[in-house]
This record gives sequence, C-alpha cells and structure tokens, in this order.
Amino acid sequence: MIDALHYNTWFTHLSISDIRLPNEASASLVALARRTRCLSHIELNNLNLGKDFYCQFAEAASQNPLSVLSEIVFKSCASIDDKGKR
Amino acid sequence: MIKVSANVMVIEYALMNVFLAFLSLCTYATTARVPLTMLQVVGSSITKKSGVLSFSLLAKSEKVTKHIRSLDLSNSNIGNEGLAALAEFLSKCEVLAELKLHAVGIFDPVWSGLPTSLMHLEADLNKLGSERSNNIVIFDNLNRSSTLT
Repeated sequence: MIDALHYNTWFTHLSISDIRLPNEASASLVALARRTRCLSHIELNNLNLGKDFYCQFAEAASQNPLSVLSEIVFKSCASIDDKGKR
Repeated sequence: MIKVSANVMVIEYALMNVFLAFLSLCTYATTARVPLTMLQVVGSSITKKSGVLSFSLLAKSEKVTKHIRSLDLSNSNIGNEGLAALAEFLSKCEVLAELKLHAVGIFDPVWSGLPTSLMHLEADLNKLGSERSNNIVIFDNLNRSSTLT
C-alpha cells in the first residue's frame, strides 16, 4: 500500500498507527519521502520504528527537491534521540 | 555542556559523523521547499544536547520561524537547558499558534519570549510555578482568547 503511494498523486495525507511495520514497509516509507510530490502530511504513531528510520526519513525528504511535506507528526518515537548513528 | 554557537556545534557534530534524528528533521525543516507548518515529535528521547542543537538551527532559519504554526515536543527530556534554546527560537516565531510541552522536564521556564501569535499553550506535567512571577509572565504573554493548560 505504501509502495502504491509512490505513484499515486491523489492522497496528500498518510497516517499509520499502532502496528509493527516490517522492514520493507519502513524502507518503503523512506523511499516515499525521497520521491513524493504530493504528500503534505505524515503521521506515524507508535510504530516501534528503529532509531535509524527517522534519520533516514528526514535525509530522504531533504534530498527530495519536489517535496511538499509540511506537517510532520511522530508520536511514541522513543528512538528519536541524540545517540544517532556512526 | 555546550556553550558555543549553533554553527560551531553543527560543524563539530559533522566532524564526528554523528547524525541525529531530531536534528535531521530540523535540518529538513530549514531546507524544505515547502515550509514546515506543523512539527510534532511526541514521546521521543530528545535530550538537552540535541534540543540545544536543533532549536538553535531552527532559530536561524527564517523559513521555519515565519511559517511554523504548531509545535509539540511533549514527553521528551528537553530540560531547562534545551528550553533556553527553545525560547530563543520561539521568540522569533511569527505565526506559532499552538505549543505543547507536556512533561519535558522544565521547572524554571523562560517564558518572556513567547510569540504574541500563540493561542494555545499546554505545559502540564512540569514542575512549573515554583516562583509565582513565572505564572504571571505566562499570562501576560498570552492573548485573552488563548488557552492554557
């Protein structure tokens, strides 16, 4: 479903809550941030994502010259910390 | 403790090749083609160190300060050190209407920098009000139509 959003230009909001995303899905979210032209709002709530995900997501969004992402909601994201990765 | 300016800190961290998740988000906010209007990072492990870095970065970006309308950093460990940097950022925000700081470990807040556009402030589960003057400053800075919890 997330992969479909790579090509779909209708939906502008994406909200995912309270599930454990497989690695493929989180990788797909990063890829989505890298290429989306229409997603303006993303909400990820209690997904138990790895600590690298948020870094990768933000970097992917930064690398997307066509990004219109303007509303970011990350909840229960304990892995956003200042330990980072090396 | 970090006392140097944001630029120097960012360079220092770049040299260490450390990528911070929250700082990455803030970097995106400063470089985004479409300005970020809402940033809610709830239940994170943002700490004083990453908070100081990130808020200093945000404060330097007019793209952020002119457009951010909602900021929620609840349930993190920003603390007073991070709050000082946050206050500097907040003082530059022009349209910030909603600020939520539930349980962020602040107890002696610097509220004088709250933007006049702020309509909704939530700062419960902090050890506020140790000095009565702090509360007075809060109310002075909020509009009559504002809500405070």
